Amino acid sequence: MSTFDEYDLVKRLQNESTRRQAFEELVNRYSRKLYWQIRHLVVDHDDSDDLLQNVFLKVWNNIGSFKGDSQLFTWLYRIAYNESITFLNKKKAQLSIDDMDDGIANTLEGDSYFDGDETQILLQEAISTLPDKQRAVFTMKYYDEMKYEDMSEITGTSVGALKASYHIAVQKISTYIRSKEL
Amino acid sequence: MTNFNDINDLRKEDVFRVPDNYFENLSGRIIQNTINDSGESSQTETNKSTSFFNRNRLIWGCVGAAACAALLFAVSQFTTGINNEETGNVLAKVENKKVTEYADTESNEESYFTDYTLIDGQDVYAYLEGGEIY
Repeated sequence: MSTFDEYDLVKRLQNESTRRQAFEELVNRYSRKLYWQIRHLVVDHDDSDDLLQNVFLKVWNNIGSFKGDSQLFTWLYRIAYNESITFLNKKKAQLSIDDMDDGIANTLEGDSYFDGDETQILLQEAISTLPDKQRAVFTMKYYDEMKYEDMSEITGTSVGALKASYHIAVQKISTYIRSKEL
Repeated sequence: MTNFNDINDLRKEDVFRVPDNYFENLSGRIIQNTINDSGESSQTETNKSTSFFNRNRLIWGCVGAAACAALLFAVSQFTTGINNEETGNVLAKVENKKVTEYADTESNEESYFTDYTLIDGQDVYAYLEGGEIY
């Protein structure tokens, strides 16, 4: 979306008389991308669907506070990122470490919306062992192929730190998968 | 199990699937649920997990506000209710010496807490313009 189009969309979102139509346009334009960003991070479809709804609810309620100091898409992604991280933290607090390791594999094997083989399941297990923010960095880079500069705006972390985090994540995941294959 | 070499060799596409027609219905559902949950329409069925989350937030918000109001009321009653009958009944159970000490303290000092609960914004501005600044 060009800067001009985005500026115009924001103006219409912040105007009561054009808000609903502009919001429909926003949802049509960004919902799929945001869904996949969330899905790659939280894995479960139903959880992703709920979180996506929460993201757009927050956008609807807070669009008035969007100052335009970042791109609209970056702002949306940031909300989705924060919602996902909060969700993962809550989920982790509810599970013991053993439950998490066993839970991922068992959950995915029975999940009709996951179409991966054993190695894919191992990959998801490995990703689940990463700290939440590193997990987000990994999924944004690996699945969403996001530029480090964009990730830096979303996460508030420097590009250098993001590159280091991703590199370490890849090493951890590779080590985990190889150890399980032995 | 295949021998793993590099994560970039692993399949990324179509690993995660969605229900049939999920994206076709997604926009309409989000818009409907968002506007319903924000209170602009009450005719359409809402997403249960989102409504439940928002209802809980509202309830706990009200509980928190009521608790704060009750606490402020109780404190204001305690600090300003020396002549209040209920407070008097409570104080009657306290040793006379301690009551005297408390009354002296209250009368001799400007109780920061008392002023804080009684004054409003206009008083603050008036005080800052003409009074001393601590």
